[in-house]
Amino acid sequence: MKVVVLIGMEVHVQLRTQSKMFCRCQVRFGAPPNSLVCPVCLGLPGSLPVPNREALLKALTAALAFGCTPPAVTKFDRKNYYYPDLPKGYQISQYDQPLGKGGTLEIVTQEGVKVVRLRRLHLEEDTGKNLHDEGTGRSRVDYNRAGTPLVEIVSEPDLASPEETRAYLTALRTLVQYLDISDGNMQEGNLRCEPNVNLHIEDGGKLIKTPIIEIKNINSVRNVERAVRYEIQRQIEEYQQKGAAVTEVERATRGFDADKGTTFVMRQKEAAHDYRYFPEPDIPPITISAAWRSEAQARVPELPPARRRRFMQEHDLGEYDADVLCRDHHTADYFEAVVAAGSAPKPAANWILTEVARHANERETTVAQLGLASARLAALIDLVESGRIARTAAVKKILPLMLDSGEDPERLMTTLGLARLDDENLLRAAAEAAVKNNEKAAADYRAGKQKALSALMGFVMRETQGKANPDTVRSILEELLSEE
Amino acid sequence: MPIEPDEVRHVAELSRLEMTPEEADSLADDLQKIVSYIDRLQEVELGPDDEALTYFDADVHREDRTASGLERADALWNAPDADGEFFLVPKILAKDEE
Ligand SMILES: [Zn+2]
Repeated sequence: MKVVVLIGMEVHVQLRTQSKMFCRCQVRFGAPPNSLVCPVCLGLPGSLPVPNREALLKALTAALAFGCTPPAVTKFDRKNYYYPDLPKGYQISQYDQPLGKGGTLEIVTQEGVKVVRLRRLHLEEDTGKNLHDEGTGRSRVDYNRAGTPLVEIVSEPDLASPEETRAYLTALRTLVQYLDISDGNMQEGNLRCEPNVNLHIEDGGKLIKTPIIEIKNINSVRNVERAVRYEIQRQIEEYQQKGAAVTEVERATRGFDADKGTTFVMRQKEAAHDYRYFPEPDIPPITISAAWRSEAQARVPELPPARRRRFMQEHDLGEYDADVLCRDHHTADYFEAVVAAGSAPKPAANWILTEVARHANERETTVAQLGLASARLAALIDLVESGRIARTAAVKKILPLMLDSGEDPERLMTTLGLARLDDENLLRAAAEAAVKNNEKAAADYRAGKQKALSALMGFVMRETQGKANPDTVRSILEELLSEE
Repeated sequence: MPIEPDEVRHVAELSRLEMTPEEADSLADDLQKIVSYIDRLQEVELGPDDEALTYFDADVHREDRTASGLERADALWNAPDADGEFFLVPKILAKDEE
């Protein structure tokens, strides 16, 4: 039995605009229910939608950044279905002339780089929110979110594992953050994903295609990986039980249960995919002029894959470190600022990805928002690299104090007396004591055992509370032991 | 294009409308007449310059600026049911909350 896993992704990204897609109501998360509504987004009779230019531009910017081909003319269509979160009885979306067709997204996993093909990118409006009250038999509806601009990005089923699915979502979120078109926050729901999973099973000369399962209710990057991993296993087991009978259903929707880590059957609307699309008669088609394209193109910055490669070339970083730095553009900016302030790139990357990142995690913030001035971090790294302070002291003592006080690392080092001891006379006295107190080690070294020196070094370091400059101590000891 | 009662029943289901078989039959008849009437538009001869007229040049869009909408009380006023904050609707299970 040979199993090929096919995963495609549908991702919805809320665009960050002041006003909604087709009306001037404010877009804001967490406002009192039904306080950001008007006749247009409530679908009241006689109201007319007018597209938000900024939303169009942000969506076009995304289309260009993904390498999609935008059409000369784009238009909106009505997607008809009845559900209480959709006040008009249809969603204004795009059907046959989306803002982007084709395009790609580059992902990085342990296995390396992979280019995932995109099918399309289109613009549509978000729905309201239903809140189900247990017991009362009623649902409460809040239309604040109704009409928020959304971009939907659909990939080809090019993803072959849970890890790749996660990497895809991470790469997509990074890209929209680089483009500054969305917060890309999954907890607040401004980035939502629905993976489609199925298997092509070759068994006994026959090819069996399991039903395409769309998974809903995924609210974090980690959970997309868990959900897909569970679903692949479930489909294999279902095939082992039912055999070819699994193909009776063509597609289905399942929900993800984050507590149990499983997917469950969701009740289906009958004829769910009969949306009766037709052109939105209230909105004339929109010409994507050369001026619009260049305005959108000008908003596309250096993108993560290009930046990652530049970090690898210019700063000699490994692919993994470069990728992690570039996943958050603020972190990548911060890294460049530390390097610009005079730090060597490799130690800068290392400090940011380990020590600084650890403090950021502990304080539940990001590296860039930690409040650690890039010049200060560069100064600390320089103190360590030039041997003026032990790395351990810099990590354990100086860095936490810098974060609390914003003080200059050199001043902290002096105040706390953490500077490496380089005083020739003082170190010489300690070294002489070391030789006197470790006669065996001294004799061993003189007899040619290089390793014996470490016992003597250890003695001096203990005597100086670890502050002695090891290079100076070593040369003094070598000098002392070569005498006589 | 003939409109069959089956088509009417299917669209009625999509639209969450209840109807008897007799109503479906009679609606199929009515819709057939309406569609045939509209079909007469197909007889109009159009030249290449008549296509969609100024429709494509309209390019209607607006700047991204907010304006206040309805007061909540006004928004909820005409709803069949509301609790002062939310619209209330019968519970629907067919599609889970996202
Ligand atoms: Zn509105």
